[in-house]
Amino acid sequence: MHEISLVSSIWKTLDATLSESELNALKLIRLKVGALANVEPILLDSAFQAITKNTRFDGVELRCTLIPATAHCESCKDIFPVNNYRFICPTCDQPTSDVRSGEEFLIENVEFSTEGEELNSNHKPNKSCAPIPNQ
Amino acid sequence: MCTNTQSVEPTVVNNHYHTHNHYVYNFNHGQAPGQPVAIPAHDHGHSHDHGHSHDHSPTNGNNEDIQRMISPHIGQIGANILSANDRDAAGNRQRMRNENILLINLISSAGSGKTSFLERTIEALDGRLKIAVIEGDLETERDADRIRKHGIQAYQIETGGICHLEANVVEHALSHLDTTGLDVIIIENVGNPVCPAAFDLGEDYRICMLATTEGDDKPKKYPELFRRSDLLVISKTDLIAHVPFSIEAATKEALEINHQLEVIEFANNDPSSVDPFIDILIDRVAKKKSHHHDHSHNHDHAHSHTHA
Repeated sequence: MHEISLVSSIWKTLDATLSESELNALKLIRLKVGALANVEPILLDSAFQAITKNTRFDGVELRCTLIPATAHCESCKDIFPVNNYRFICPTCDQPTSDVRSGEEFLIENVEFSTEGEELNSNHKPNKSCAPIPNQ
Repeated sequence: MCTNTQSVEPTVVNNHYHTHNHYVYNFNHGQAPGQPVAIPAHDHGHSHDHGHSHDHSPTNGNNEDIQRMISPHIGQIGANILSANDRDAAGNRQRMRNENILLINLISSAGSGKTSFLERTIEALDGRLKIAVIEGDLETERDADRIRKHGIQAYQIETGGICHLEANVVEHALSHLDTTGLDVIIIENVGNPVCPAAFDLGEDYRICMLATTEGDDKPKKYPELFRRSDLLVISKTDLIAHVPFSIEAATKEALEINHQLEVIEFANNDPSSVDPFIDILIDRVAKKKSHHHDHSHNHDHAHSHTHA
C-alpha cells in the first residue's frame, strides 16, 4: 500500500540528482530491493506504471534486483540464508538479529536514451520487477 | 525501518568507459548520510570520444575494471531511496535527544486496541510521567479527542488517505506540541500492520500490537513489523476464551522473527495489565535521561553503567 510513497521517493531522489535534460532522456531505473525491505516489487512496478502513465516518464522501465536475506550466527560465525523469516541458525539453533543482507532499497543506477532514440511509447506493463527466482 | 544497514561501498567512478549508446548515472550516499551526491556521468563533453570501453587495459585493472569490461554501463554505487525520510527521522531523533524526551512509535492493525492501550496507560501512570500523544489516522479527530479527555496533550494527524506516517509529518506534529517538561511522546501510527513498519519516524522504541481477534498466525504474515519492533503487546486477551488464538504460538512465531522482542499481554478490562508496560516506560525514560546525562558530562563516572 505504501508503494505510491516509495515511487514518490524514487522520483524525489532522481529529481534532486538529475538535470532536466537527463530526466527527459531517462529510459531505465535499476533498483536493488532486499527481501526484508518491506517492498513488494510487483506492486512497486504497478504503482510506478500508474504514476508515470501519460507523463513524460511514460515508458521508463523499472527493473528490480531482489537481494535475498542472510543473517550471521554469532556462535557458528556463519552467514546463513534466512527463509520464511526464521532468524534462527540452521546449524546450532541460536537466534540472531544480525542481518547481513536483505534490507537494501537502493537506486543502483539509471540509463538514458541517446539522441534520436525514441522512448518506447507502446510500453506495456512488464514483469521486469518480478523477483528473480532463486536469487 | 529503524536503521539502514546498506553496506554499499562508495566507488570512484570514471565515466570514460561509457559507450556512446548509453550512459549511466550513479548515485552516492557515502559521504553525506541521506544526501544523494550526483556523480555526473555526462559532464565530460568528450566522453563519447572514447567510444570503446575496452580501451582500458585490463592488465593493471582490478575487479572494478573487469566489472566494467563485462557490463560497461552498470555503475556500482547506490542511493538509498528512503534517505529523505531517514534524514527527517534523524532530525526528530536529535530533537528528542536534545529535549530528553522518549519517542515511541505504536503500530498495529486498525481496531486492535492501540487507543485503549494508551488510555489505560495514561490512567495507570497517574501523572508519574508527563506524556503527549500524536495520533495518525486517515480522517477525524476522534482518537485525539479520546486522549484529550484524560487531560493529555494530543495532536491529530489526518493523513487524508495515506496508509502510514512518515518522519516529516511527525516533525510537523512535534512543532505543534508544547514539549516543555515532557517525558514521553507516543505516536499512534495509522492502523495498518504493513506500511508503517517501513518508515523510521525517529523513535527510540517501537511497539507492535496484535489482538487475539486477529489470529495467532499473523507474525509470519506481517513479519517486518515484528522484526523491527522492541515490544509486542498481545491485546484483547480477555477474549481468549472466545477466539482460536494461542498466546504461546503467536509468541513463538514472533520470537522466531525477532528473538529480542519483549512480549506483554493487555486486556482492556483489566487495568493492571498495563503495569508491565508502565515499568518499561519508567525504565526507558530513566535510561534516556541518564544517557543524555552521560553524554553531557564526558568525564568518568565510576558507576555510569548502573543506569546504562
